[in-house]
Amino acid sequence: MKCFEMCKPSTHSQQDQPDNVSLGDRQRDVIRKILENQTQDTPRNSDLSLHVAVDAVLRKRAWCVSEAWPTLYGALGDKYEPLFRDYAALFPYPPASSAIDGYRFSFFLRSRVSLDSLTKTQILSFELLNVTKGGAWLRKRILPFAKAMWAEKEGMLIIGLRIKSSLCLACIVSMQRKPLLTIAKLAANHT
Amino acid sequence: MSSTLVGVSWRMFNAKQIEECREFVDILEVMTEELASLKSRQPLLEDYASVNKLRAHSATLSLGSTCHPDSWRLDEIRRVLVKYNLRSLSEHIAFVRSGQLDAWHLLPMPMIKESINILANNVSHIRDILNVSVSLENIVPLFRWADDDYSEPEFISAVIKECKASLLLDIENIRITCKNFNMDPYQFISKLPIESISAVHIAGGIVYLGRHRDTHSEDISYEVLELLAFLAKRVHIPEVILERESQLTSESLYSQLKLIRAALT
Repeated sequence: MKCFEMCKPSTHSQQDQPDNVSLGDRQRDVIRKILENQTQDTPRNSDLSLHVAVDAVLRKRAWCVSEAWPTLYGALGDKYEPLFRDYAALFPYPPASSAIDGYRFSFFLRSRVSLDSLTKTQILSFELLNVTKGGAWLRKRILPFAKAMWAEKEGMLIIGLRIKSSLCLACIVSMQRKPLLTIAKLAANHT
Repeated sequence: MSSTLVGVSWRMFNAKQIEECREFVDILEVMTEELASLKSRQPLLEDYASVNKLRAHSATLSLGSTCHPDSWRLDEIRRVLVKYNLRSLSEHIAFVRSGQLDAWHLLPMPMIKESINILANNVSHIRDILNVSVSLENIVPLFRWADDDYSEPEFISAVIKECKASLLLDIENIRITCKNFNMDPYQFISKLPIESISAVHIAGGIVYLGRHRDTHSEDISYEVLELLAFLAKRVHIPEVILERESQLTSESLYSQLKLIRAALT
């Protein structure tokens, strides 16, 4: 299965309609056990091979986030997978889109690793387009908005300004080396 | 008998390589979810669509869930279908979510009558809503339910019949399933309703944690090519689609398509 930007969280229809209690409960039970890595408990009427599903689902989720957040994946390199596993252990339930999952992952990383300016630019772009709080995605941002972020690795101050619904400007100013002003027009493809 | 169309699953990261191999690609398959998220025009896809050589594939509808697919997902798919004038859609014999819980991965349904009824209900629903013909694809089960009443070929056959759908047969998934559950892939194929095949998926996977995985990340194996040849001797395969979810060069794509064509002759 593949993963994509899903702009809207799953809020209706799947739960609005009358559920087939028995099979629906069993499906929920299996998903919960896979996401929570509870392979020691056998879900109702299923076999014991859930540990394979746990790993496959986690790797798929990590791959989806790497697709949505290539800067994160590139910046972390070999550390990406172990760090993502730590993150997923803390947040076992993936949100509605891999873009949001990646943003939450980047929030998780802030106190653990020093992220580069490219990744910070993507984080900034995400925050310019979306209302977030404490690493959680809340909704799409409507009003114009400006934000700055410090990339300590390169000693850069990244300044972003959201003008229209799908555009933002990012100004990158080098504070360490020779002064540099770059204005990048970013077509924000993620929610 | 018309010849088999050979194509590839189009992904944005492989669009350039596919464009370079265009003369060898009869047909393209697109993920509706990816296409719905793209803002830019895709002239290559428009060209294929204009000659009815573009196919829509989806993986997030969760037809095996006990309630209908989310209406916003169907709306997104409908926009793609209308934009490219597509009249068919393929999905998987699987569930992905239940209520608010989303695994983001295709999971096997228990192979019981109740599952068949649920699939038939959801297929009928999307057929009505989207006005398309529906193909259903076999997956690689990551686990088995203990109360299965059917064998997997029996289950797939019953699903295809009850859903009045055609079969999108993923032969790499059959190869992997048979490896993981110690079955004979040739016998597996022989028990399927192969006359209902609308297309075949072919790909290459990995072995991890002692299990074969359907990752679409590797070149296709000779084992799966032999399965394709076996199938092609028994039934006319209208279309074969190479699935690839990692970057590949245009030379590699060309050689993979060449191998597929060779297996079909």
